[in-house]
Formats: sequence, structure tokens, C-alpha cells
Amino acid sequence: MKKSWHALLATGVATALLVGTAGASSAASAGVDPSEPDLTLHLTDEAFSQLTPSAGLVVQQDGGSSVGTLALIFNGCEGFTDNPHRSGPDASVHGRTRCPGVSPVKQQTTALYRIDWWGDNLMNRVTGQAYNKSGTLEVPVHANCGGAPNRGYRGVSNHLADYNGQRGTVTTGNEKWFACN
Amino acid sequence: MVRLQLRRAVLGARAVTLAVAAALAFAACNTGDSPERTSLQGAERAPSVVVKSYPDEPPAASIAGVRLPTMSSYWQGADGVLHVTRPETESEARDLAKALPSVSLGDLPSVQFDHPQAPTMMVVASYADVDEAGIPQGDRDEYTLNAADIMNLAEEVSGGIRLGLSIPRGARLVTIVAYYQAPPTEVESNPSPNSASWSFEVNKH
Repeated sequence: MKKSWHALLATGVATALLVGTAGASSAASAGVDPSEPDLTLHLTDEAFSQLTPSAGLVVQQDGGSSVGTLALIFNGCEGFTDNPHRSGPDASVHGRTRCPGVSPVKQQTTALYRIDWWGDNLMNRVTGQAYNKSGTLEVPVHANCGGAPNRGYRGVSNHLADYNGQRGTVTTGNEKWFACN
Repeated sequence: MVRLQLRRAVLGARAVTLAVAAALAFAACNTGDSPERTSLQGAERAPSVVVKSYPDEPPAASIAGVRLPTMSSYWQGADGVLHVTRPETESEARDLAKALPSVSLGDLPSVQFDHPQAPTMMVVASYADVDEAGIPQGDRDEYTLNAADIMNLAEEVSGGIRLGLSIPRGARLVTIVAYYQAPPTEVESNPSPNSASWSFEVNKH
């Protein structure tokens, strides 16, 4: 059992932590192979809007469980980590980086943790990228949780967008408690 | 059925002059080699934001002057290698619990990190009860601070930052988890989420 609340941006603003000079090179110049398959999934606006009401707000299900927070990377690009959930024998979480209307380089690493009293216990993490494509970069992460009783799981994503010299990153996270048995 | 809920993170605003700042609504960075930038339509110029340096290892954390033990860390340094430190067994976790420092919190407890890079997200979890071995029992209270919250709460101190924390009155054991950005690497330019955790017992006397 747990009680939680998320401290939120109260003004609907976004937060963008910028990568400084050490990280300011483009993805291409950073040595990432653009020919690698990306994980872009195209969600309808309706589907995504159901997950992301606006920056700085949290969508809560009845019962108080947080569904997720949305953070703006820069104007037009946003990141989101949805609820960890059970997926067959796995715990799973999906992170999304979305830039509607523009087609920047999007990169994202999403990590799935099991919440323990001493901290978060990393189960798996996955990095995905999309180059000059519209739509949403979605990175699903899975890790076996078979047989585990009701426990907390947390997803944390670092989102990056790089567009015409603008480069920003944000971190989003979300957690959920559920049984895997 | 979902509903919207907006809460304000009011833990006390403090002046912030962090090495890492957060920009609101829009941000752009100067790469130093591209004097011209194209802005997204409708965007506004943001405050200058620079990450001066990435911590190459988990920062040391202290509260009320007491150095806290690092309970776990997942840390990718400039070498791109993820270094994992955590208790792998219940026995190891119990050993960590036995060695936790007992800290007398003042009215305005704050945690201090010895690196000027601010976390991008933090979780503060507390437990009201522990068993004989010091392992937390029962309900877990926690709250999450995002980057803007951290900016509001943090102040720069010599070589690091300090953040005011809200610790529930009945807390017996507290664990702080901080997430950072790993330095970009040649193989992964998106900074991965580094994280570390620290714990302490609350001295009730």
C-alpha cells in the first residue's frame, strides 16, 4: 500500500533542461546510425490527447493513481511516461516523445524500475530514436515480474528532441502498484 | 474515467542560481558552433541554460550535516558504461538497514548534494514503521519533484546544491531517489537516466 502525490508545475508551463556544449552536437554527429530502425509509432491525436491533457497537469484515475505527467521539451515537443502496467508475465512501461507538426530528431531512453524501500531497482531500460519523422516516438520497456505480489513499479524516461539547432531534454516519470501473479 | 487534478508544489521557494536551470515553455541552446538558430514558429527565447558538467559518479548526499549512505546507483559516466550498485539480496538490504544513520531533522530539513548539477527528478519516500531489523513496514508515503520543482526548492552552495525537503512528521525511515542525466556518449547521444538513492532513519529523540 502506498500513498503518493506528484509535485507539479502549477502554471501549465514546461520544463526544458538543456544539454550544454558537451551534448550539443547533433545526433548524426554523435555517431548514432540514422539507418537503424526506429521505434516510431504513429498514434492518432485523439489517442494521445487522452493521455496528455496539457503540460503541468496530471491525469488521475479514480482512486488517485497517477496516470502520468507530461513535460514540454521545447515548444512543440513533449515527453510523457505512462503508467507501468502488467503485460503478460512482464511489467511494462511506455515512454513517448511527441513533436506534432515538426519532424525533429527524437531520442528517448526509458527505464523500468521496481520500487524497493532502499530505492528503485532497475529492471530494464531501452533507448529508441527517430530521425526526421513526424508522429510519436514510443519506447516500450518490458521486464519479467512473474509471480510477484502487489509491488510498485516506476518508469522514468529521458526525452530528447533536436530540431534546427534547438536541442532540449526533459525527464518524466510515473509509477503504479500492481500484482504480477 | 479520468479526472484532472492540479496541485501546487509548495515546499518553500528559494533563490536558485543553479548550474543547471530549467527553461519554461521553450528552450534553445547555443552549441557554440552555430551562430544562427531557427526557432519553432511561435516560440519565444528562453533563459540561457547550460549544463556545466555531468557528475561522473553519484554525488554524495547529506542531511543535517550527516553524510548519507548511497543505497543504490545506476550510473553511466563518460565512458558510456552503466555501473550498477544495489543490494542484490534481502540479506544485503538488511545489512544496509542496520547501518543507516539516525538523523535529527530540524524544522526545515534539506538535503545537500556535493555536485552543482541538479537532478532532473527526485522521489522522496518515507515509512512510518520499521521492523526490528530496521526494514520499513507498512504504508509508504512519497512525492515526486520534477525539474521545475527542484529549481524552486534548490539553492546553490559551495560545490553543490541544497534542497529543502518536506518530511512527514511520523516518518521513521526516509529514502531519497535522485535522477540525473548521464553525459552524452558516442554511441548514445540521448542522456540516459542515471539515478541514485540514499536513506536515513529519523531520530525521534
